[in-house]
Amino acid sequence: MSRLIVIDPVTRIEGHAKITVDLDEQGQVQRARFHVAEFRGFEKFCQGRPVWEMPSLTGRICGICPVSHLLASAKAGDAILAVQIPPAAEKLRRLMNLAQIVQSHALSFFHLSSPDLLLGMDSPPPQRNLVGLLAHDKEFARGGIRLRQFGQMLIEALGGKKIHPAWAVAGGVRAGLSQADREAALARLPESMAVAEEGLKRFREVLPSFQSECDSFGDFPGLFLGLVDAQGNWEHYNGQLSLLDSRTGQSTALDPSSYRDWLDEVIEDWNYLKFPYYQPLGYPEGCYRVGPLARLNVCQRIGTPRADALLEEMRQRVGRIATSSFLYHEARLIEIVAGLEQIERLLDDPQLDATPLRARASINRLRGVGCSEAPRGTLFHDYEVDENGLITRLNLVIATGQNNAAMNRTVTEVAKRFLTDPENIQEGVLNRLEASIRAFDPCLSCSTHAYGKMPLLVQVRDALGQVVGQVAR
Amino acid sequence: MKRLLIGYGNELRGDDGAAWELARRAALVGWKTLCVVQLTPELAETVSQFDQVVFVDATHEPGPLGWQLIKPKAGQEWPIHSGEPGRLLGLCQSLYGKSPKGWIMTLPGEDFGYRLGLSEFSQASVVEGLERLRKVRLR
Repeated sequence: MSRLIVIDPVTRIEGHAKITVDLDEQGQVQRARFHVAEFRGFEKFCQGRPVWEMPSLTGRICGICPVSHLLASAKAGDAILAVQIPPAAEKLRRLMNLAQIVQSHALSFFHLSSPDLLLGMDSPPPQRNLVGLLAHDKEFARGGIRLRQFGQMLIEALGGKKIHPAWAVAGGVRAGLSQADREAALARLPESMAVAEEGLKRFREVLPSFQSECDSFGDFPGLFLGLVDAQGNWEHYNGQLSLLDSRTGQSTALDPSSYRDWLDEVIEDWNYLKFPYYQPLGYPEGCYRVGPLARLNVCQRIGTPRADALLEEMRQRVGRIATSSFLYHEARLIEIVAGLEQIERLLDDPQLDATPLRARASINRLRGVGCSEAPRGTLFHDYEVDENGLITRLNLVIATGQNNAAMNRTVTEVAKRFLTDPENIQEGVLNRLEASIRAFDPCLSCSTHAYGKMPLLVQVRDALGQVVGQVAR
Repeated sequence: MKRLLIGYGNELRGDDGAAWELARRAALVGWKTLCVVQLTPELAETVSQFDQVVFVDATHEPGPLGWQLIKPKAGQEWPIHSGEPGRLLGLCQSLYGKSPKGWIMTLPGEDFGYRLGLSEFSQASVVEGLERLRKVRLR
């Protein structure tokens, strides 16, 4: 008799989800699904609001990465005003986005995933968390906490508060960075860099003991999408999108503002998370991955010395294109280093103090698309307005949604690899199912624009769809 | 004696912002204060540098204003969306080898809907909380 396994809630991710595993009549894993069970409806209730309110409204989608929505929304506003923002404003926005990438990646690696990596996937659940990590290696845990604190400190210095800063606006930003805050950030950089590099060193040390996970956590050829600059280098704020096909090594340049010409979205009846795909290849063949691994795959180089050296080491080891989703962790750590190097450059840039910081205009276009790289991947805010600037339609395409197909393929791979005895499901197997999702660092609050707790349910269902086993945390 | 007051809550949820209001007013009479949406591990470094800390939170539980000594809870998992004072003090001890003495003050409220501003009931709780702070001798 076939059965179904359900993991609900999935823990140590941003949001509320469950995993179901369908068994066939022989009791073998047929498929697994990652279900997102939240809904909030920003795309509906923001209709009728002024475009100037949108950065603050959409920033509230998430408490972890509000900056990403703030910036993509402000960029959509720039497009509707048809302005080029002042150079200092762009530098300041870049600085905040880099701080956001650093703090969010630090949370993902040090707080959420490093317990699995340093204590082991099969270690006792009560120890497999930040506090267990602290008992294992106090300095490492403390360093991770301080690294995240550094990113938050910079966000607060720019925006006035760590969470939901009302700072970026259509046309620019509200305020610059004080000299005292600039010096305080510069003083923290060496320590932050040392923590990030130590994290990467530790990851690479333990990587050989995770070969099974590396092989089965979403290791498949396919498409990767991310921003690049005019030279094809790593980019997080502006530029063109590059779609790389790992099977051919060929890249396609895509214009973010015309994403509707090449990107389409499918809704499945078992998930509130949409499935975006590259329209010319159809669904599901056109599904692609975004985020740190995708950004490192699509770029020629990063453009800062330390991060480029670390990226080159990774490419020497796994090849030019990394296809295992387990390596999202490594990519995240390299991006922290890149972020810190670019933060240092910006803090040393005298133009950061220039004025003005905001271009003012009224409504000059009735549609605008803002695109930037959130920590978890490419983010689109697409607004249509009336002549008064009131929103008539909006569409948000979120990084986690763009990784949806890859996450579902990954949980199926992991279930087939590790769930060898459905009659006797071991805790470590459940943890690997969760950890495979955690590698993508999904933000379900963002991707469904939904209120999130973070619980996980794993359910096993038989061929008739009846739940025959269930584990909840 | 270094002492800190941390008000936590969400000002967009009506009376849940009572702790922030109390913290702002306590700052006017000399308290070192922090206003945060929730307690996070990143606060441990700051908190560990004080001798005494008063956490202030709003509550929808009916009853009088609450005042309680907190014991550090060591070795417990940190729930990402619901950090609480005892775990934060435990984290101070684990990470920095010292933890301040801590108290929690809970301010009863009645309207936690989506809005700015406190109900009259909550405003009275804030006044009572400030009075308690003035009278209490932290030891």
